[in-house]
Amino acid sequence: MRAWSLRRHGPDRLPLSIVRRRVYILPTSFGVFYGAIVFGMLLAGLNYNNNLALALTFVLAAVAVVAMHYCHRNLAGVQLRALEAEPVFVGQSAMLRVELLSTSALDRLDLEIRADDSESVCVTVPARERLACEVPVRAHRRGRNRVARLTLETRFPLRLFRAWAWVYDCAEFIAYPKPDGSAPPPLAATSASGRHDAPGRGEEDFAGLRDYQKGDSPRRVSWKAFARTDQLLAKEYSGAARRWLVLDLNHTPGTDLEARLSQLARWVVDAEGAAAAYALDLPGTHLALGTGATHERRCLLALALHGEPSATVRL
Amino acid sequence: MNTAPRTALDRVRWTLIAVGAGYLPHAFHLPLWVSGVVLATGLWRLSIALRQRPLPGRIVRFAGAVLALIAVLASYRTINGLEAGSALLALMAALKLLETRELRDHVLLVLIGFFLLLAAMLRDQSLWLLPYYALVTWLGLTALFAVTRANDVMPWRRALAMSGRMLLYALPLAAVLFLLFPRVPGPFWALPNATRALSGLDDEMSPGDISDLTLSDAPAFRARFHGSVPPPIERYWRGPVLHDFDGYTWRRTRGQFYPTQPLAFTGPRYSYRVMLEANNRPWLFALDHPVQWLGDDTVTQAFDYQLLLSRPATEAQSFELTSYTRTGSEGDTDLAQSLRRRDTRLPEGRNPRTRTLAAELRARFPDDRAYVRAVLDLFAAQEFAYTLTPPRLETDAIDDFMFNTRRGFCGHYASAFTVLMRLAGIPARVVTGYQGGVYNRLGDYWYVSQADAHAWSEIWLQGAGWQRVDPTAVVAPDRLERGAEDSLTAGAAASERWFGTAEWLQNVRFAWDAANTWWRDRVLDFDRFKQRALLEWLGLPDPDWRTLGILLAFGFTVFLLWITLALRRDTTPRNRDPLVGLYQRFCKAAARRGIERRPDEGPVDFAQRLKLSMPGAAPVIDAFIGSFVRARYLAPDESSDIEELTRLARAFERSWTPR
Repeated sequence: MRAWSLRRHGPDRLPLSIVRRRVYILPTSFGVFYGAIVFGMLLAGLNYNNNLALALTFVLAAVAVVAMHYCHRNLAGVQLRALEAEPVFVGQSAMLRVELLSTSALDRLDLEIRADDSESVCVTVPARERLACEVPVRAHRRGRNRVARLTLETRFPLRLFRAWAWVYDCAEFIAYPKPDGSAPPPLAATSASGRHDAPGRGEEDFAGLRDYQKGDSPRRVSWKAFARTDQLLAKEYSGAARRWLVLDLNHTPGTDLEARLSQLARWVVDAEGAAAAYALDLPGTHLALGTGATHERRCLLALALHGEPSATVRL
Repeated sequence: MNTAPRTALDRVRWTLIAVGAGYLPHAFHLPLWVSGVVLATGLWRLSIALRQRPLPGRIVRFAGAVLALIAVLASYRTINGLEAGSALLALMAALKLLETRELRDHVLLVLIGFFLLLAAMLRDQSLWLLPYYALVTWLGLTALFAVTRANDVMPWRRALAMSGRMLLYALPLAAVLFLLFPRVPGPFWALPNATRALSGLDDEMSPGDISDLTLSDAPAFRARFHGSVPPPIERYWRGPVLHDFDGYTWRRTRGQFYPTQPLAFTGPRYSYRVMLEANNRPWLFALDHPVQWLGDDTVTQAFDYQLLLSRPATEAQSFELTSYTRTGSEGDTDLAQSLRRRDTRLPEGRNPRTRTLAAELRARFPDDRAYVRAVLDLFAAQEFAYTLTPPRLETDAIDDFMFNTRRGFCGHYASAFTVLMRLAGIPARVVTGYQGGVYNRLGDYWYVSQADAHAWSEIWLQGAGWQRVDPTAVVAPDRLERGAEDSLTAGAAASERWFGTAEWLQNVRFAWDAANTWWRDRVLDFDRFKQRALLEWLGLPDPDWRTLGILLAFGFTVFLLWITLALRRDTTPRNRDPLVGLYQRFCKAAARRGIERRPDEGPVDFAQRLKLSMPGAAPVIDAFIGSFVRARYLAPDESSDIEELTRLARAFERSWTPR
C-alpha cells in the first residue's frame, strides 16, 4: 500500500498539498445502508407505480452523488504546513502539532486527522486560514520515532462517504527512555572518584550569590544586595547536605542497554525533582554538572539518542 | 466545555423536525391516538434533552413497542397495507426517539422521516401538496446534514442553506433518473385495495329515491381532442348501460353475455385522450360510440358498447380513444332474440297507468318512429319540468312521475321514456354517463365534472340499429347546450354557491385545474409508454431498455462533469478587483493579436514591446497602461477611473490588427 502510494505521488515533503490525486474516497457503512434504504424506496415507488415516490427516491440518490463530490472537495486542496512534536517518554503520546491551511474559499468542515493508529482529532479549517491542532501519537521506542502514516480524512457531509489522504513518513519526534528501574542513585561512588569537581553546597557556610529562582525561600534572598542593585539574588551556602551526583552509563547496573538507559532517565528525573545537581556521562557524550529544565532536557535527549546513527540534534 | 450537551440537543432538535415533518401529512388520516402518542413522545424527548435527564429504561421502551403493535393490530386488524403500515412506522419512530443516544439512532430516525414522507406520497399525490413535500425533503436533508456533523453545532440558517444548495445540485440528476430510469409494468406484489367511497355514477339508478341531487364540481374525467371537437349536442360520454328494471330501480346486467350488435358509423371521426379520475369502478367513459381504445389498463367493450377496465380505477389513468358520434344503419340486421327479450322485459303488474297510456298511444301510432315522436311530444306538450329537487316518488315510480309530480331530472325522463318504449315492444335501455363538459382553454381540454352526469335512452329501431334518444332534451333543451347548472332557474349549483360567478374566479379555477391536469398528465402519469414516446421524440427509433441504459449512463456522465465544474467554480475565487480584470482583458486582446505577455513582464515593459509590434495602437496602449499603472500602483487610494479604463480597453480591442 505504502509503496504503491509513494509511486503514485512521490515522497511526502512539507508543505504538502492534498491534491486530487491523493484523495481516495469510498462509501462508509452508513453510505451502504443509505443505498439500501434508497433501493427499498425505489422498489416501493415502482411497485405502487407512484411517480412522486420515485421522484423522492431519485432526489435522495442524486443527493448521495452530490455528497460524494462535496466530500472529495472538502479534502482536496488542504495544505499540510507543519508537523512537529515535543519529545515525550516512551509509552506516552506525543502531541503532534499539525498545521493545516485551506487554500481555497471553502471551509473545510469536520476534517479528522490521525497519526498511525492513535485517536483522531476532528477540526474545521476556515476558508483561507491556517489552523493548528495537536494530534496524539504514541511513542513506541526510544530515540527517533517516525510517524509512519498520517491520515487526513473527512466524512462531511452526511457521512455517506469517507474521503481520505495518506501522508507517509512526514514527521519525526524524539522519545526519551521511559524512567524505570529501582537501583539507588550512584551518589557516593561518583563523588569519591573526584572526576567531577563539585563544590559542596549546604546550609552551613555562605558560598556566594546566585540569581533568584522561583521557589527559593524568602529567607535566602539577599535583601542587602537587593537594596544595592535592585536585583533579586539568593544566598548560596556550601555544605555536605546538598546532594550532587554523576550519572554514568558504565557504572549503571544491569546488562540490557535499554534498561540501563531507563534507569539513568529515572535518576535524571528524580534528581531534577529533588533539585539536585547532576552530570551525565555516556560513551561519546559528557554533560557537565548542572540543574534546571534545560539541563534535564539535554540529558534526556542524550539518553534518547544514545546509539542513534545521526548525531545532528537540535539541543 | 458544554459542547457535548449542545451537540446532543441540536441533534435531538433536528431529528424531531425530520420525524415531525414526515409525520404531519399522516396526522389527517391516521387515528387521533397515533398523533397523540407521536406528539407526546416527541415533547418528552425534547424535555429530556433540554434538562439533560437520562432516557427511559429498556422496560419502558419494550412495553411501549408491544403496546404500539397491539394497538395497531386492534384498530386495523393487520399491520399490512399503507394505513396500518404508516401508523406502525410512526409509532415505532416515536418509540425510537426515546432511545436516541448515538449518532446512528439519530440518522436512522431521519431516514424513517423520509419513509414517512414516502408513505404520505403513496397516499396522496396532489399538486397542492407538492410544496409541502419539497419542504419536508429539504428539512429532512438538513436534519441529516446537521445530525451527521462531527461535533460542532452549525447555525440552522447555514445548515438550511448548505443542504438546500446540495439539493439544488442534485435536482438535475434526479430529473435525468426520473425521465430515463426504466419503468416496469405493473406491481411486483399485490396492492391492498383502497376502499374509498367516491361520488359518481353507480351501476344502478333509482330516480325516485333522490330528492336533492347535489351537483358536485368534482371531476369525472378530462378529455383533450386531437383535432376537431364534436358539437355540444353530440358530446354524450357513455358509461354503464342499465337493462333491468323492477318498476322502481334500474340495474346493470351482470354476468350475462349477448352478441354485440354491429353498428355502422357516419359523420366525422374524433380522436381524443381521456384522463380518467380515480372512481373505484372498472368503467371508462368514452364519447358515444367508441371504436378504438388504448391505455394504461386493458380495455374491453361490453355487448352494450360500454368500455370496461380490467380492474377498478383506484388511481387516475389515461386512455387514447377514437369515436364516431353518429350511427347509421348496418343493413337490415335483426336484434338478437335474447337481447330483444331482455331489453323489452318489464315487471308484471307495476305502473298500470303508464301501461294504459302506452297501449293507447301504440294503438294510434303503430309505426315505431311515429310512436317515439308521440312519446317525446307528450313530454314536450304536457307540464313536465326539469328540476334537481324533485319530489320523492311512490312505489310505482313511473306512474307517479308521469301523472302526478311531472318534475324530475334526466334520470326520471330516461327511465319513463325507456319504460314507455318497452311497453310498446321497442327494445330500449337506459344509458348513463356524462353529457357536455367545460372547456379549459389554458389546458386545452374539456373538464367533465360529476355535475355533468346524465342519463338517456337507447332504442332499437329496425333498419337503423341502436339510436340514442334523450328525452331530457325535449323538456330542458338548455341542459344539453349549457350544462345542468345553467339550465336551472332556481337553486344555484355548488360552485356558484361557493365562488360566485365572477370571471376572474372562473379563470383562477381554470388555471388551477389546468395546472393539476398538467401535473397528473405529464408527471404522475409518466410511465413506460410516455417514456418511450419521449425517446422517440428525441429521435431514437425503437427504443428499448438498452437505449435507456445508454442514455442513463450518458446523462450520469454529463452530470458528473457538470457537478465537478460547478463545485470547482464554487471554490476558486473570482477576481473581484475590476482593475485587474480590465488588465487581463487588455492582455487577452493583445494575445489575440499574437503578442502574449510573459509571466515575468510588468505592464510597462509589456506596453513597450506591444508598441513595437503595433505602432498604430501606441496612443491607446500608452493611455491604458498609464491609467492602469497610476490607478493600481501610484495612487491606489484615489478612486480610480474605471469607466475611462474600460473605454480604453475597448478601444484597444477594436484597434487595428496585423492580419
